Amino acid sequence: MNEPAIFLDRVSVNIGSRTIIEDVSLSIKRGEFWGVIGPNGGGKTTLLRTIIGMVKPNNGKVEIFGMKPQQAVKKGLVGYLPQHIKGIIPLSALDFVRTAGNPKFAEEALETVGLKDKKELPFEKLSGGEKQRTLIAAVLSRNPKVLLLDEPNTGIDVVAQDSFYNLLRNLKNQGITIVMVSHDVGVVTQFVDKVACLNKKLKYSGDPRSALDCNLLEELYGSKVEVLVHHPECTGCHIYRKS
Amino acid sequence: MPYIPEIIIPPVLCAFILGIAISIYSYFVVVKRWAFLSVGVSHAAFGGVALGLLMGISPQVSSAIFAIAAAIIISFIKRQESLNEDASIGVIFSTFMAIGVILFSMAQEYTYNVFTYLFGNMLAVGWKDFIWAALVATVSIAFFVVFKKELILISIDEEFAYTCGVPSTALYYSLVILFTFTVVVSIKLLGVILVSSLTVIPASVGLFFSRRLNTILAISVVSCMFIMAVGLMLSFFFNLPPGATTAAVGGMLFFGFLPFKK
Repeated sequence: MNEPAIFLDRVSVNIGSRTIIEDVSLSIKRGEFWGVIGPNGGGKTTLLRTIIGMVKPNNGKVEIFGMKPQQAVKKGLVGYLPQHIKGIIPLSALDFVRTAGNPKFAEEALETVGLKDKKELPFEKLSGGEKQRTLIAAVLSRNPKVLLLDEPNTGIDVVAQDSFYNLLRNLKNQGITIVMVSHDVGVVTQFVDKVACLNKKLKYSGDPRSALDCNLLEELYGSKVEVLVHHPECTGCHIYRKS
Repeated sequence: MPYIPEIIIPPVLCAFILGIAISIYSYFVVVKRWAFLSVGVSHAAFGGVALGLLMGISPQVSSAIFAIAAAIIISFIKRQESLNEDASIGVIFSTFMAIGVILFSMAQEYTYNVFTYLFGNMLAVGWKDFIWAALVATVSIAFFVVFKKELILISIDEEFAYTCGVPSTALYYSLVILFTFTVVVSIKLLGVILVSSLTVIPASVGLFFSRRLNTILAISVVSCMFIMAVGLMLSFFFNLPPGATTAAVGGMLFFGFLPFKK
């Protein structure tokens, strides 16, 4: 029971001759909310795909609750939301959640994400934020213990983002371990418990406030960065890159 | 009751029964962007047909082996991030097609058989072909009914399907192999070059009008039946190649409905 929710030990991943992730070690405790930040091509998505077992590491090992990723997935312990859903979803919101998740808890899950009123609408007619919440509902209805989200806030407006983060906070408070990849450094560091800065290698992991350091971010993104911290009630912080 | 020549009964029955299976696969071809796979396996089957005729074995069996080999290679490449998908698939299907042409040039029945398999020939379709068509269509429909939920999830996103507990790799390849069998069985009727059009048009028409699976599939089946019926009728009465006539009817249906796309 004391093993971490997600454990990566010196994980390296090569695709073809390219090294995507090199020697990454992470230990994520149960109920923690982690953000993964880094530049494009820095290995963030590959890290999530390695955690769920879609990508096999060339070196190192990955465990979810002490199990191999495939075992944990089979047991329904892992919920995953890819960055882009590639195909169309030709179902109503409710039918989709019933198909992808646990039909018994489909309505309840849609209620949790605030979409009970829109359950009969075709998925493709929902707004970007509503689609994202429907996907989350499908994942939640299966009662996962670990939730992996790849850029879940892409294409969602500010208001929808706010309600989305509140939803994630509630899930974290229910004991679900969350790992979220995002480009939005300012917002992520505001919401998560811990952050991992990844650019092929793990540059930093720990307190998100310490990640907002010009030198660290410069090393992470490979260009000069200025951090402007606003009032915490306002928008957290902004990061400007200097060429 | 009008006179119906007995010789057209097996091809017409084949067309209808294969039409149902093809219109279901058509949905996956369109949403999974498998048009290239469809072209690839039909062209690869051509090489198998030639080999079968040259070696005196059943062209259905040899073409199925060639087509499945090509389908697995193409699907494997499609799922690999490190390979250039378009170029690799282009090389594979042109290589299989080239093998077919070379082998056909070595066979004695060269001209007749080339045209039969390239463009389809209603009169070459007999009751034995109908049995193959019935078998493939029954297995395909049963597969879809049993694994409908899983197949929908795979069509949405394979990684997402995997994390929903779907054995996505096994089902993906099962779907590809069954689809390939259906294409192979359809080749004698519709021809290597044009069978792929029928795997794309029905569901595309369905997607013009709906985003609900059952409606899309219903429109797809009706479209496919219409294309098959009109195509074969025109082919028979005006002595035209069935594959080309059917593909032309399909094309007209597609472009006819395109302005009404929702």
